[in-house]
Amino acid sequence: MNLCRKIVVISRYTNKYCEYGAVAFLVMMLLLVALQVVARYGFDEPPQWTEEGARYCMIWMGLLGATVSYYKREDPVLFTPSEEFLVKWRVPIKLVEFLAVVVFVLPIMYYGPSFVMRQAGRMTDTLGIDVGYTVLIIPLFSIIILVHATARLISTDKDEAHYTKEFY
Amino acid sequence: MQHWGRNIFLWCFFLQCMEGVILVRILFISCFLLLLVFASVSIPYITGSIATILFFFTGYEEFLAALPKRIFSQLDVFALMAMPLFILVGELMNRGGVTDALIRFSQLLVGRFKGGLGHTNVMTSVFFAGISGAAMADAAALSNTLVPAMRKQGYTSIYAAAITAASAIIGPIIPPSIILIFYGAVMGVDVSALFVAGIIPGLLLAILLMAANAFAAVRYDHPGGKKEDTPSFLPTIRRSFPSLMIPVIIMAGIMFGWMTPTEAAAVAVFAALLISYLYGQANLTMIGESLKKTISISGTIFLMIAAASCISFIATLTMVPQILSDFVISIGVSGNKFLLLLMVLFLVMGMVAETQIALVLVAPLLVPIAIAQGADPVHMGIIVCLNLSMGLISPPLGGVLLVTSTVAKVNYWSLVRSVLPFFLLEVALLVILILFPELTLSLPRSLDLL
Amino acid sequence: EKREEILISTSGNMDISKNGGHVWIKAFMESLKASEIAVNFYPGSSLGKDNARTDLVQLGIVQVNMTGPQEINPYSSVFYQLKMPFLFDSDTHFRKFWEKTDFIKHVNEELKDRNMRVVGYASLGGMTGLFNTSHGITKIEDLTGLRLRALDSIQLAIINSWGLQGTQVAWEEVAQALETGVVDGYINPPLVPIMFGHTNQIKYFTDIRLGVSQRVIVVAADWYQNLSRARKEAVDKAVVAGQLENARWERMMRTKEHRILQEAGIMIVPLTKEERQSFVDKTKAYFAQNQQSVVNNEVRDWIKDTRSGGMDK
Ligand code: NA
Ligand code: NA
Repeated sequence: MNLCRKIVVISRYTNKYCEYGAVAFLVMMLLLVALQVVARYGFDEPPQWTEEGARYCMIWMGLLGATVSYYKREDPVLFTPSEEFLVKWRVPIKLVEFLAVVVFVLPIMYYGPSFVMRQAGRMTDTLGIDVGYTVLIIPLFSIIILVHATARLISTDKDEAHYTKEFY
Repeated sequence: MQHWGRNIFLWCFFLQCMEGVILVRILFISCFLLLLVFASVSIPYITGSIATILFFFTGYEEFLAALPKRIFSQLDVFALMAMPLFILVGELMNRGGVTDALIRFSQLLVGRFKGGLGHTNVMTSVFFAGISGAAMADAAALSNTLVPAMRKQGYTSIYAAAITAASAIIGPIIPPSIILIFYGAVMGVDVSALFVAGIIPGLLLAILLMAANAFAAVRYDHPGGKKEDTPSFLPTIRRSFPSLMIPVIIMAGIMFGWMTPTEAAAVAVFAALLISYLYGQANLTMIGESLKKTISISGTIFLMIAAASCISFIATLTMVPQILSDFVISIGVSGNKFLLLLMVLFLVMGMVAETQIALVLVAPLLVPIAIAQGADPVHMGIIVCLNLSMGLISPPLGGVLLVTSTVAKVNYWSLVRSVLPFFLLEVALLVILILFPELTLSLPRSLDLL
Repeated sequence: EKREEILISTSGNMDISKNGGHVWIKAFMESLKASEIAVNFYPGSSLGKDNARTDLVQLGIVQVNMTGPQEINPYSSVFYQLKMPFLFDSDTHFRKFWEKTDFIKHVNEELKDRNMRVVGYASLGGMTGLFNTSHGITKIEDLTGLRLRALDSIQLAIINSWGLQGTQVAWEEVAQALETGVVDGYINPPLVPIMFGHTNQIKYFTDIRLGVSQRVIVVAADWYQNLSRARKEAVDKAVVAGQLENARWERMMRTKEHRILQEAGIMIVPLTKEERQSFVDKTKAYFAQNQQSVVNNEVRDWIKDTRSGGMDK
């Protein structure tokens, strides 16, 4: 298997697990908020960490979800080109799209590690976990998006048709 | 020939007015933007990449290092949690038969009128407004439930999306309202007075939109108005009763202080699941699909919030809001003229900035001037909030438009175009509210809140 | 230093009549301008929430930031001790503690590798007291049945020590929580309900003087270290101007703020010395029992030394 194929396959599996992860965080968030409601009327002392836990679940769900919607091309566009236009300008379109993603996401990836280090060592208000772990999603998000973008750039039409069929 | 000469002269004048470098940069950004649009790059990535370039062009590139934290902290907001949960409610409602039941019920009520489902859309928004504090949640949930239903009945997708987006603005006007709470905090105005003041303008907005829908129904021959559109009375009531309990639970929970909107959204998820089970439509596949859809839609919305916050960051750093407000002050008009000028400015602000940033930066600079001229702070609050909320349905980056076009899968610019008549109607309402403060103030006054 | 101007950020919209923090910032900026130093000023959390602005300072791209003490606490165990209840008798006591002891030097030692340096604090006017929507609190028993909003785990412990349940509510949610009765009151400095428009719900204030309430002025440590001598002097002078003006405002507010509260329809409930002491005793006993006090001997000595009469010569 050559490198190009490898990246396409990595991107495909990454997306599969991102989707599972995002769904898990969504369910967890739902359960934590529900626990809050039950606790307020069921127990004497409602737990204080549910709100914070739910909030972090929301952020992880949201950014993992953003990688999924990128992979599945579900983000809104301002202009929907015709089939003919797409065929004619296929390569330039791919390049411009890759460029846009890189220009947005690269600074986030580049400054991600130092950001995580700055946040590390500080505890969250009620859960008492290191803030460094909670913000890991930011560099993670940028890396996943770059993997998907690279895969999309180098994949053939056949690849794209294949991975949309295989999983969805 | 003469025509060309004049153009060239104007261009030379234009060039002289600007420093060459700035002009080159503006040209570059414009070309890059066009390139991105025609390569059908999606909106969050257009916004984000333009932001990065702006950081370099304005000399604030060292602030790129702050973007990770900026993005994280813009998403780390308690109030946002209600959004994915309400999207999930919408997904479950659609797949579990709840939406169908509600639609049949509303058909029973207003189906006999032409454009009945359009009326239902607006009515549901009034009801949702009493549930949620933000327009975006309304737009997401209703685009997901009522737009497909309207499409099935024979409305065009674009009209269904447009009336959904336009009526989502009712959300932040009728209490509870996140924007009004924010205004109260920023301006030091009592929030409960603001809440009560929002009720009549919110209902007026609903009536106006229903009138527009009635007009459109005749003009475009929308479905409804025929006898067979009205379902039989008792079976419909029996079937829809459990579904109708969802909004009742949410409303009561919030109104009586049992739950926050987020908690109410979570309870609504379980209620929707239970009722789908009663309808015999709950199963693992349907739940799985709902969850997957929810994370993908939420993901798009979250990334748009993140990318927009990068743009507003650079706008703040370069003092764009201050420049705008200084300009307004420099014109030097007063009274209703000043209020109308403010309205125009806030419309522009709503177009280019995030609602909260616009509110927090411009309102404190300009609203006190209006108050000094005799305007009531509560009256101003409702005007400013409606005004800025309308930014959500105006181009280039209207949050509600983006959500609606994403969820309803319609072209963004077509949506912009078909929302325009409703938008103009809302501008008219705004002018009416400015000219007749009693519409806003009489209710809180009668309740001794002023 | 790439940029000529100093970037200054804070939360809240400039309101020097009610916000002591803004009084500080205004005097600070005016002094800088007098020294012909250009500033870019970003009020109203326009550069982000407290924790986002702290990040900007740590990066050194915003040089001066006014923020809540919660931004210092995670990095400074010395500073964290200020959160303990009933440490100080009055604002004056706290000011003396800040200015005359080595407290801030120790704090800055701990903050150094985070690129932060605390240069001053702004009093928000008065010490924290007890606000509620329901009835006047003249003794600890009057609290029965109230649900108080807790800011954090320490406030939660304080509320528990009075035999009550606390409910942790994010600040943005407090207005709605008061409105719907999720909470009946909170612990805050006197002007807070006015500043945030809670006067329609909040009706009673009891001046229990639980703790000090301040905003902290943080600068980027590397930037401050590398300032030219003239610029550093100008910055130091501006800090002193801020401290002085805020102290003056604090003294002025001492006579004014009760009137402002009354005018807003909030009743000031009288509290006898003995009744306040019963609050102090209950809380101290609870903290001792649960070993929650974190005040070390050094800080304890500084507090004792600066109590009225000490260090006056
Ligand atoms: Na609402
Ligand atoms: Na609607």
